[in-house]
Amino acid sequence: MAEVELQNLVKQFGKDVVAVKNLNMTVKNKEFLVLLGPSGCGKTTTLRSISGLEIPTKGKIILDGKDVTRLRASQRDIAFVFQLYALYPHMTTYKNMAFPLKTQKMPKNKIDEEVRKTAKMLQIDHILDRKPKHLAGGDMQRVALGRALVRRPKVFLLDEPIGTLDAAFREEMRTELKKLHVDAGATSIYVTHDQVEAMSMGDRIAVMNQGVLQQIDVPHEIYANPVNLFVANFIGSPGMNFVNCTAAKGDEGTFLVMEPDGAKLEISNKLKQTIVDGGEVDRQLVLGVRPEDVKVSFEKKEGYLETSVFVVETMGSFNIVDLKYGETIVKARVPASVRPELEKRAYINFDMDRVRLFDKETENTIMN
Amino acid sequence: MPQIEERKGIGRTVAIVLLVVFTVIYLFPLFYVVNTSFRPWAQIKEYPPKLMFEPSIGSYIRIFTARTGFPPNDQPTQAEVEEMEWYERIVYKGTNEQIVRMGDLPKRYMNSLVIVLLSTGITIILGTLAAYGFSRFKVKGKDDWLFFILSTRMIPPVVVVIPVFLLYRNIGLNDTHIGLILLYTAFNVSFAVWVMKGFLDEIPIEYEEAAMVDGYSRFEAFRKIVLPQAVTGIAATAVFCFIFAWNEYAFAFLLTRNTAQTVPAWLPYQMGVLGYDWGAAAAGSVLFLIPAMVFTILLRKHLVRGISFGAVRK
Repeated sequence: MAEVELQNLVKQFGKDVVAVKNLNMTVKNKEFLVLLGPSGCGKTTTLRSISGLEIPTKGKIILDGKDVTRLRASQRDIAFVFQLYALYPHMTTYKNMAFPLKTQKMPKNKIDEEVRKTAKMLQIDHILDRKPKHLAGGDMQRVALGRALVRRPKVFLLDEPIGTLDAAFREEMRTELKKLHVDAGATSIYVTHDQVEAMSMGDRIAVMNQGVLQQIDVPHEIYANPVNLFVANFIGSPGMNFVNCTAAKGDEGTFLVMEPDGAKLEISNKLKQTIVDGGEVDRQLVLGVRPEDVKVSFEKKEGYLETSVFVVETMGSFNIVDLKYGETIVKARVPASVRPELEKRAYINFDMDRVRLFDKETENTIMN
Repeated sequence: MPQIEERKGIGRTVAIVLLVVFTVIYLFPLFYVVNTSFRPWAQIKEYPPKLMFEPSIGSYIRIFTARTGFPPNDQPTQAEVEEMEWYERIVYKGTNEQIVRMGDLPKRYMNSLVIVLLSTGITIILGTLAAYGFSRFKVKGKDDWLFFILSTRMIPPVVVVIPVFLLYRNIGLNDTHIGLILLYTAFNVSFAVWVMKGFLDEIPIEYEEAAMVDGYSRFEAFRKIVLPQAVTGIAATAVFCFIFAWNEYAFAFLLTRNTAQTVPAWLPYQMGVLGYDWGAAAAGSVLFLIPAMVFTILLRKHLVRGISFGAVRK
């Protein structure tokens, strides 16, 4: 089917606004790639450039080995599912879905066959003669998908297609979309700002911020080994905890001096190695740790940091405890049965095999 | 639960009375024209006017015909009167005239229809395309262009009557259909661009983008997706352009004499041998009102419907 390659893609609006900065990325054949980032990070602009709705300022878009940078949207054989569906309001569901086929000079009975087949697959065959304004949100979504699926394009581009649905339905659509992608066997690029969607659907995730690609990798790598503070914080719910610290070398080897109270924290040998090899001793670092990797004790323990309970967030199957360490809030994930009183002393330590260290200045990780 | 009280008492009465008064004031001229057009000749100038009378279509026959008076020494005999066609008899009994031939009204009416419909059509095509361009594309100096287009409406048209007259005389457009069509188009197109731009701005650009991704060129997307959405705007614009061109008097009066003369320019010349024929003038006015009414009523559905954007959640 199709591989999409972006080479040094730059998109600038006017003189000052650079929406996408020098983006290099390859989307593999049949891959489900999620473009993830906060609003205004350039993910939609990237998607629109791939579709041909925006002409890049610089760089190339290669589709299946062919340079399509200057090709019109209509000539690229790419389907786009819009955030607000953009169903043609004066056409019925049937006509909406037949519309992309009509321009291909397909015979009428073939069009009919394809439309009905796709409608059946999406379970919208009972609303074929309704106009969009008589459809519920979820059905509109399905029709929009149907219109994209019906002509079997090389690439699917989806711009936050389930962002406006309500929560319960969104979960259902997530599974359904992934299944459709597998069934259709096409390459899909999916834009979202919702990291849960990204984690659950993406074969790979490309995290963008301020027009720059931060990291592109499989979901668990992005989660476990974020390359910088932005990715670490953006991924995960809640995101990674950050505690400022300095690496120091003493008689017993390398350890971390935590801010603000100067408590010493033992680290794993692997981390020691990284710090020494990277010449990071005496440098300002940021320690990043996922809430589930925070070990909490309500009795004083040697080598633990002293904190106090600030807020307890009940999540149902688990609780998130916000612990105040100096001015820093460390969120820890604890079993649902643990519901400490506020202001209570708590002692924490981290799973040192899973913490990430970042350079405070560059905000990039010092680990590989 | 407290309910919003229906407006009661004196306020409501005053409102109704005011509405009735305004309706009567607005409709009275129309009523008077229609009423006059059906009056028998003898009662047209009667004072005080009678509201009730036996209606006659004499005025309509007169506006459609050219007539001469019977000379006093050559009045038709009783037998000749019996021989007359019914409409000839009505005219004879009313104004003592003889019908010479069919009048100019049908020709003038056709002129008006041709000129106004063509100019409205051209205005809509040009206006919609220009508005689409302004609405969707980056146009250098867009605001300046739009202001320039608007500024063509800032002088009263009558001010340029003389220059246009001289210009048209020089290039041979006086008394031609094309001359008036061009003129009315030029006047209306600025209005059309502005109104249509407003309507097109309201149509989300995603529709066209979807169509373009679906394999259609921009023009096809415009034709198949944007135009059906813009029908309401087009209808409203068309009604205004039609009415302006249909009622235009000053230029029609000055630039046309015969071949391309429109109804408003022609109607005031309908003097009978017995002085100004108010009945015929009223009959002509009633006939003149009909197309504007029909056109408006035909498009009324679009005028009141408003724009519905069913498929995009806002």
